Amino acid sequence: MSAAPFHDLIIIGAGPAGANAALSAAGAGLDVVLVDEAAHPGGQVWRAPAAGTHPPPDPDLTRGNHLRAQVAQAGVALRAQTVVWSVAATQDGFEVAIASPQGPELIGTRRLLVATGAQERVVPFAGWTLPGVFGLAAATVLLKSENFLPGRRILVAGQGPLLVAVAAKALKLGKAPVAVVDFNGLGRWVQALRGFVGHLPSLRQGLTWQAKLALAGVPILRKHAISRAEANDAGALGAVHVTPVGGGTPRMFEVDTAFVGNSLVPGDEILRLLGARRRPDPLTGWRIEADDEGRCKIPGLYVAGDAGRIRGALPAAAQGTRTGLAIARDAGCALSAAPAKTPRRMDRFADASCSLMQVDDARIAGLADDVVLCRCEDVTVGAVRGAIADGAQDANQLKHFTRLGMGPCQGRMCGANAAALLRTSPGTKPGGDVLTPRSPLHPVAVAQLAGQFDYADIPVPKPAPL
Amino acid sequence: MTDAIQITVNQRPLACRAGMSVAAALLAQDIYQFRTSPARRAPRGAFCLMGACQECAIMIDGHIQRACQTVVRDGMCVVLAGASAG
Ligand SMILES: Cc1cc2nc3c(=O)[nH]c(=O)nc-3n(C[C@H](O)[C@H](O)[C@H](O)COP(=O)(O)OP(=O)(O)OC[C@H]3O[C@@H](n4cnc5c(N)ncnc54)[C@H](O)[C@@H]3O)c2cc1C
Ligand code: FES
Repeated sequence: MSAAPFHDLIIIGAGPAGANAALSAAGAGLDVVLVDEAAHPGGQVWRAPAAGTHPPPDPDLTRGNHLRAQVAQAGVALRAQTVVWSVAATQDGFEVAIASPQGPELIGTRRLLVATGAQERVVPFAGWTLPGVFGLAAATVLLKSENFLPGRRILVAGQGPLLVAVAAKALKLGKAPVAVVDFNGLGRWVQALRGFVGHLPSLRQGLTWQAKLALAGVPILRKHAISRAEANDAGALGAVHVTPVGGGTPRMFEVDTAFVGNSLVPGDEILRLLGARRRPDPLTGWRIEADDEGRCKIPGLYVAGDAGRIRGALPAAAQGTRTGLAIARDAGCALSAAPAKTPRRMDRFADASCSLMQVDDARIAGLADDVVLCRCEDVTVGAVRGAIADGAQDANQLKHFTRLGMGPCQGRMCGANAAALLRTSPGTKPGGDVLTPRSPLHPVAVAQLAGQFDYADIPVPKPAPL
Repeated sequence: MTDAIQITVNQRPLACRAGMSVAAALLAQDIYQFRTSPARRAPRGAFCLMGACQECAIMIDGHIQRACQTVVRDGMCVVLAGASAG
């Protein structure tokens, strides 16, 4: 095989973190390849609208357009619509396996920056696998890229800043939610306000959204959560039951669509595949071990943005710039400017947002046995409890006992919740709550390369030959 | 609707706008069930819409692809196995 092309720096993820890192590293003279699965830079929050879609003006869209213009002008080699499905350390750096519409490729690099962003964490309930139940962050994807939300009778539930944002945007599309169901009480929001004053435009935006929902008469049920969902005759979502947190009489809402989300967790598989370690973080559950400028313990490996620690868009952008400059400095570039630190007020804002998205282990420990935990393999909470009782002591044993995390999502949806169950069960191994990631990271991309597969064939990936 | 194109879903024509994802095109027609889960044969549809959960992995032009990460193309052939196409 001919040698893979070799670069100074490959950046995986062109969100606020990765794209800004690319700008500062390329500006300092490095040869940078910026890879993203999406068609355009922007990431989750500054996502580009789909061709032919014209969403209403919005600060995130403005920032995204600015970023896209900057990337287009900088000397950055952008590889869009390109999925990274495996990575490996080599003698002189890293080898990155990518798949794009042009086919599979291997590219090599001296340094690797992982800026793959976050994934959504949803606290499961009976019926959360029904068609018609979507993530809450998922709604923001549809809003930003398609200016569209599905459904006729919709309900928005969960916790955190996205709750009001999605509800208000649904209202604007003429789909006033039947109800907004907030796990947090008003007290938590008031506490968070002290941090939210760290970014006044966002605070003003949030308050405006709340006011619009109130004016439209959208009921907001605070300290409530969905306790279960029911199917309609067609087997899709027909109704949800909403119960006060801590117990009480449930209320039923007939809906065809529910957007539900509780938290964000780092999308850190690539980092962990390369040996980076998680460290507990009191506010966000965990973070990836790295120094202030994004250097991981593995030489040449860097992290920026939500992939390392959930902080949100503006801190991700600031950290991207800083890490890009740090990489350039490590590569021996002479730099005129010292990288700026993330302003304290931005940190306070991030802390406030994260405080509204906390999921205590006790909530997962309290789930009923019949609730599906692992969506890919239909593994229930009861099956996980059974496996632990039978001697499964850590996440990887749990996987072998139950197939949890073995499906095509590789534990992205269930990993954090399975970890909470392990941590709260006696007799399990401390620190053994994390599933070991394996390549291919995106089995479907590989199926695409390899020819015809049935969905049921996907789940058992072998380690990728590199 | 500018740039209207047509795809087929289980051999039935479905009009959509060029540029949208297959998942959005299906959802816009109230097609929620994309497939069934392999273990329990339970109905499933798109969930995360960001490419992570793989719930939207369906047969598109002869390959299993994630509907939320695939853009519609005129003449595209989508097959929803085990699901009635709306
Ligand atoms: C679905 C979703 C929606 C969100 N919506 C909002 C919102 O509306 N407002 C808000 O303030 N915050 C939102 N967030 C929070 C968001 O994480 C941060 O605000 C911000 O986007 C973080 O920036 P980032 O650069 O770290 O990561 P991201 O913006 O997430 O960028 C990461 C990029 O990496 C790419 N990527 C990941 N894995 C691979 C791979 N294997 N191969 C190739 N490319 C890959 C992704 O396509 C993505 O473009 C959302 C998060 C999620 C998960
Ligand atoms: S809906 Fe989750 S991968 Fe497409």
